Amino acid sequence: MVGRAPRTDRRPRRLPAAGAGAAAGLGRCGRQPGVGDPGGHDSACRWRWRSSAASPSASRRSSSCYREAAAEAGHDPLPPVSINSHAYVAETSERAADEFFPRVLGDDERDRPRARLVGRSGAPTSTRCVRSAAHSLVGSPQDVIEKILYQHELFGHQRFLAQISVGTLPHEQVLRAIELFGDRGRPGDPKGARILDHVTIRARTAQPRRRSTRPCVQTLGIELTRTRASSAPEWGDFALAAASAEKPVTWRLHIGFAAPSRAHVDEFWQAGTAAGYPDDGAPGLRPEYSDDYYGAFLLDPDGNSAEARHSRLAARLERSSITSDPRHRPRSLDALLRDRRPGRGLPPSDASSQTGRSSPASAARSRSSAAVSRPSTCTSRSPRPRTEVVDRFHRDATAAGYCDNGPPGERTNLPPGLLRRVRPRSRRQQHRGREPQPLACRIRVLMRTCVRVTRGDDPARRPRRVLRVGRAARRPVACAAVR
Amino acid sequence: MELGVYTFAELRADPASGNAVDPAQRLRDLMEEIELADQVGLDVFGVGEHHRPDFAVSVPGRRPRRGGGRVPKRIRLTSAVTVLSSDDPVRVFQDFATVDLLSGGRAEIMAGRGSFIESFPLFGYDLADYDELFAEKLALLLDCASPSA
Repeated sequence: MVGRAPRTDRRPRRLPAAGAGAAAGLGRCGRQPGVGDPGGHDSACRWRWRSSAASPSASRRSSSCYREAAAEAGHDPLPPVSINSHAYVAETSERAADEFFPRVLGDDERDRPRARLVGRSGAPTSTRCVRSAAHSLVGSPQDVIEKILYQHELFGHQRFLAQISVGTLPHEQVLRAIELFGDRGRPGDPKGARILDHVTIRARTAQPRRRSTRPCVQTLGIELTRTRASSAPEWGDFALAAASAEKPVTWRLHIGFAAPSRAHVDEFWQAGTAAGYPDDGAPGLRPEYSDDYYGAFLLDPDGNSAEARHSRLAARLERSSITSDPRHRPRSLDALLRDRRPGRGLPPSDASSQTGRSSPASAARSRSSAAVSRPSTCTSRSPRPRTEVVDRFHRDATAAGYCDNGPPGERTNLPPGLLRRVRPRSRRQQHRGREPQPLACRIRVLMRTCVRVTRGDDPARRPRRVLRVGRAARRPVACAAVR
Repeated sequence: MELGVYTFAELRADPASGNAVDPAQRLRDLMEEIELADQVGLDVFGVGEHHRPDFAVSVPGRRPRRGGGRVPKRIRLTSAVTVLSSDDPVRVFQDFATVDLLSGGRAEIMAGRGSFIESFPLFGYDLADYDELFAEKLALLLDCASPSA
């Protein structure tokens, strides 16, 4: 709440900028009666300081002044500090720069002060703005993480707020950036990251279903991604395969497909009923699930239930997410994965005779994978690509009575298309953030690491660089430029 | 560290197409942004205030909370910032206290002096009193918030 110098052409006199003058003003206010712990009203009234200086050293001076003034006024503990800044995050640094800077640096006369805030030199749309000094927190998730951590090293703040919709960014881009900022992944995922890696349904005869299922799925705008005659048809994360003696029919599974619109839901249901699938629920609103839940349901000959569902917000974000509805996940597997404790929430399996390795296509999409099976489902889940998670999943599940359907290990004999998808990303690709990364989650992990390192240390002796700060943030700075 | 998003709900025309943004649509979008930020697990959503035609929100404490049909479930709602110097501290406190009660204790005030100064002449204040106004009004707001008030 230390003031930023007002911007105006009609400024009557020079006003104190954030810094010593403002901190003195705050100290003056802080000694007024009524300051102190607001007690029960704390949640209604909490004041924070926001940094405004255009350079990190000035901002650091301001934050120091603020804390000194607060200490002088008797605040214990010291009030928290928030850094508020223009920020934008996209999948890659290039994309972030291309999408953000043209909006901010328009031709408008009023944009000039803003242009000074976001960048001093260079072409505004180049990635130099992302990487170089005195720019907003714009870039890939990795870029933004590094800059936030670098700021934290300077300011030790407790909150970071991003002003994303600068210059009226298109709504879809703002939503995407918010999603990349969050740590719970897509809407509907309660825990973060994505829940399911892929789903394969085994049918008694794949070919007839394939012919009739294809138009149903494709009414939703989901494109067939693998069409080789010898393999199961795949639509992104979803595949159909023929059952065999070793790999039994999938039955009584519920799959919810995301539909881009309510008209797509209607078309899905009409195509399905025309192809002879029994109706399991006509298209319509299901307000008992949520306000804008519009779904239609079909059954297949094996008793599996397929649903097309449209939600306005979810559809904007993810057109082809097929397994995002947590209500329809196999309960016990979900509980097992959540608790990570053997036996918890798991009924004993009734498929004691089922053994054998799963095929690579069904078992391996991540670098390492494992499979356990119940008769009804062929789903696997890889929330994090860490081998110990896969190992523990398999160990806990088999200990709880699930049948081994393929031990943990690398699946190298994959079809070429699949192999390409599981090859680990290069460091460069990772740095540029080719895939959506749960940014907040990663920052919190890094922050926890940092706290462990520094807790109890004498601040004066603390090594200058404690946090893991990467390439972008080591440059002279990008910080705390707010309006 | 808490992470969050804040906005002033800008209304500037699309630089590519020149199309103006409909204020009603902008506010509907804002509600969707709040809802998504809540869903993806961010800690804070802030709404600032500007008093110009190219910004759609001017009263962060009094903005509708029930837009989009849903009330955010976890996220904290803050102003970013409340320009206290040109506002009435008692009214600010009352408004935020109401939002706080409605949201289960998740409202907060970020009281500031304002970097945009159009609210000073608009509400009849002299910019020459910039420091004094803030000191006086902050003291009054703190009085409102103290348990003995």
